[in-house]
Amino acid sequence: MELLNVCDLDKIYKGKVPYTALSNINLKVNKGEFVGIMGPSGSGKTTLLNTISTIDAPSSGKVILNGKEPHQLSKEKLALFRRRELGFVHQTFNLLSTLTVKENIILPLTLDGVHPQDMNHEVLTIAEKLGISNILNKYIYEISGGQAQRTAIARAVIHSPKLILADEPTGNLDSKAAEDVMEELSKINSELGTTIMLVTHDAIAASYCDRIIFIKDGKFYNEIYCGDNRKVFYQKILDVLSLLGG
Amino acid sequence: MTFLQFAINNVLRNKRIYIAHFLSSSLSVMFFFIYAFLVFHPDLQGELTTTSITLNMLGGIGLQTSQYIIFIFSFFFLLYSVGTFLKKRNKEFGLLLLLGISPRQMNKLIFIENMLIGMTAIVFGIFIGLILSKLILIIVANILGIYKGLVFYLPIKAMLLTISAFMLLFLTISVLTTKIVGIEQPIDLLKSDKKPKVQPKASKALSFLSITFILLGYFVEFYYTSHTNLFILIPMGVFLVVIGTYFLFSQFSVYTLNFLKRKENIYFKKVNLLTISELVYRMKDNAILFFMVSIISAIAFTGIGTFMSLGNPGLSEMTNPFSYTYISSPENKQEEKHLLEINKKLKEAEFSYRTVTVAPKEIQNNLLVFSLTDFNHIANVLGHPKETLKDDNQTILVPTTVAELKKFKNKENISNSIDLVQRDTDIHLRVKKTVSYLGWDGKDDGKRMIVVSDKMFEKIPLGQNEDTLWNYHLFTVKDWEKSEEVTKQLENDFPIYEEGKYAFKALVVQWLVEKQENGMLIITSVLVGILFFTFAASFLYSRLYTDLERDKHQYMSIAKIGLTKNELKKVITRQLCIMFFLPIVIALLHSIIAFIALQKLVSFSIVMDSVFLLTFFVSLQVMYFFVVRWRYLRYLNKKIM
Repeated sequence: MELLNVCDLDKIYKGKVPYTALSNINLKVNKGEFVGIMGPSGSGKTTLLNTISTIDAPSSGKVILNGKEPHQLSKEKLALFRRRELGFVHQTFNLLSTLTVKENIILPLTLDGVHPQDMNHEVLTIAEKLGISNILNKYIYEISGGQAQRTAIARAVIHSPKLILADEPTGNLDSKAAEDVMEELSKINSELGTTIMLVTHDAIAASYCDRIIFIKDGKFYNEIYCGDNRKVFYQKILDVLSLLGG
Repeated sequence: MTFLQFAINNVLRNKRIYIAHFLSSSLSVMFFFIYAFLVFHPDLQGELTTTSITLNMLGGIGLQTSQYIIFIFSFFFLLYSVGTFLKKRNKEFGLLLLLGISPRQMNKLIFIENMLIGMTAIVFGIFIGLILSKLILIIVANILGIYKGLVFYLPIKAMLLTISAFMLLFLTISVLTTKIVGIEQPIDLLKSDKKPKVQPKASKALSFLSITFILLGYFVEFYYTSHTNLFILIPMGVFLVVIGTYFLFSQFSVYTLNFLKRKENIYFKKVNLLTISELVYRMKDNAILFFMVSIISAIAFTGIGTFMSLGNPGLSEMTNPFSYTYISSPENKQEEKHLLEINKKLKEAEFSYRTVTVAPKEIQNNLLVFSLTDFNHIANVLGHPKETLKDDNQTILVPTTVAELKKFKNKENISNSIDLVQRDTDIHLRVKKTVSYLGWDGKDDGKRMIVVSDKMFEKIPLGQNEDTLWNYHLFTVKDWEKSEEVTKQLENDFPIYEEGKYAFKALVVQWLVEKQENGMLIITSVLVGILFFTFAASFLYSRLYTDLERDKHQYMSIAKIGLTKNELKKVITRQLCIMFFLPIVIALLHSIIAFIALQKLVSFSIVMDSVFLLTFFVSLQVMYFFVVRWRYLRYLNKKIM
């Protein structure tokens, strides 16, 4: 079943010299899929993710997510759409330093006016799953990078979104923490069936995906699927990357 | 965590950001409350019964006007301050948008946060105001010359007025600020603090213009002091200086720094590279802040200085050279008794004084004529040299008002001759000279004082309703400012205007009345001045707080290359010095020019008052500087080293 459909997407940054960040991107993502987007620096991967995630507007083309066209929604409805259908994980975590780990996780529920009792139930379940139950009452500056990213993941899934958008989630982490984070994402994908879209330039992180889409200079370049063997998939990714030259 | 709890957390856990804003809000509330407290004070309603001196209309109006001033300025200051604090949280708002906060929820969040700070500030401000109220009453009673003091009362009305006024103010600000944030694309908000900065540029022409405008403005103000009829010059001068100051910060400063950057032997010398390159950005970023701080401070300094000089004892003395004037008609039988009484009381109180009796003639065409002998007596008690006249048709003009004195000093519109018309007599007099001190108090009757030879004085007939002349007993008392007690006793001894046969005037009473009027102005201007100053400090604080985060990253990377603790201290000290003192120095310059111009308008010295005032504010700023520098360095050292 199709969850996301991107049609003829263009993104041009206006300025003295207009810059085409994305041109004619078409892609479809099925429900429950774990898709990676890779490409050299400046190839437009983050722009693509931002456009899909509705935090940046496309210059032309369509994004259809779960049967809706978010870019056509009013601000009020778009907010509801983001709040209910999407979850975000960023390289820099984007957690609020004035809130505790627990408060950060339940923020989406707070905005949705969920009853505090239900929030507590949800947050305990998810924290247990991600192994952060023991730091729930700590502030963000008191925890490690890996813990911060797991907190961000918890926040991204607590409201059971249709799609999780992850922008270089392992970029700021050491290899052990990065591996843990990818394991968690992979677990969420398989256990909860949540669709995940991941932007990365780390081949190891990318190897957790079912499919990798490569883009170069804002254009679709290639895509490869993971077979049964993750090691082989990893090798294939490296091959494409060396061809891409970046 | 409910939405409300979230909003409360945002405020409570951002207290370092919001503390300056909260304190300035509280201060506004407190000042407003103190005024309301005074306006509704039972002893200050209408005529004062506790003292012979009444709180006049002006005082009452003064109090209320300052309340309005505080309210209006608080509104704009707080709005600006909330605006800057919200800008700082752009990234946070971007993140909330990402998480799907709806525009309505965003407005609600900002509204709740603002109201929360506002409500707390109202409670806190009134509370501090109440604690200080007893002290304020003592100070006010002193300034207004109410020696029995003012009673303390529970100011329910003042509280209600303050609460409702500031509820309205914070409500309006809350509604307006939700408009400030606006809902942009979250990506712009998220990236807003990461955008690389463009190299600031400045125009040579505008830099030059800024200096020209300021100098021109100064010149116009000086020109006004010698051409006081051209009132339009004042706003013109102020306007020029304000425009000039703006360009001084936005253009001239950047231009100068860029110029320094090209001088490699200066620019590449040790930490100069860091200081100057950093300053260029800081100047451009903070131009508006610097501009506002210096203009606000200049207004505060000049305003307080002007009003303080109005309350200076010199002012009353300027219009009346005599401490006591006892006027007696020929029919007054108590004349001798009263004079003895005055002398006795003054001696008892150990005042050193001089006294003289004169009998001038009032002339129909608005002149007051003194014989040369009488006048020389007056000159003597006032400590001026004797005058002489060559013949009977010569006369000396003596100023009796400040305006006249100034005219005489500048030799403006002085006629060479004067006609004296009394009944059938018409005498033509030539003006020999003018003296340059006040010889009489002509403020009330507006008569001109002239001196003629004793012989000529005899020739002038008496006025229509006069048989003999009235005697004027004049006293000059050293330290007359302290003669209030004696004066009160004397006033009690001489029932006022007994059948109009005598009159008793005391300078100290005149002075106290003026002091009371001016006291109101002082209270107003000092409190408003302090408020302005606090807001300026709060703006600086908010700026520093934003810079701190950026500085931390910058110095962390520089420290890795190798920057010693002392070098860091030097760089930071220099930068903070500029932030703290550049606007104040400009403000001082403006106010000093204003004071010098003011000095030319009044004939007593306001140097002491001005120096005292400016020193006070500068020392406040120096203290503020050291506290902030200490905290800044401690924070950076902890993060970096």
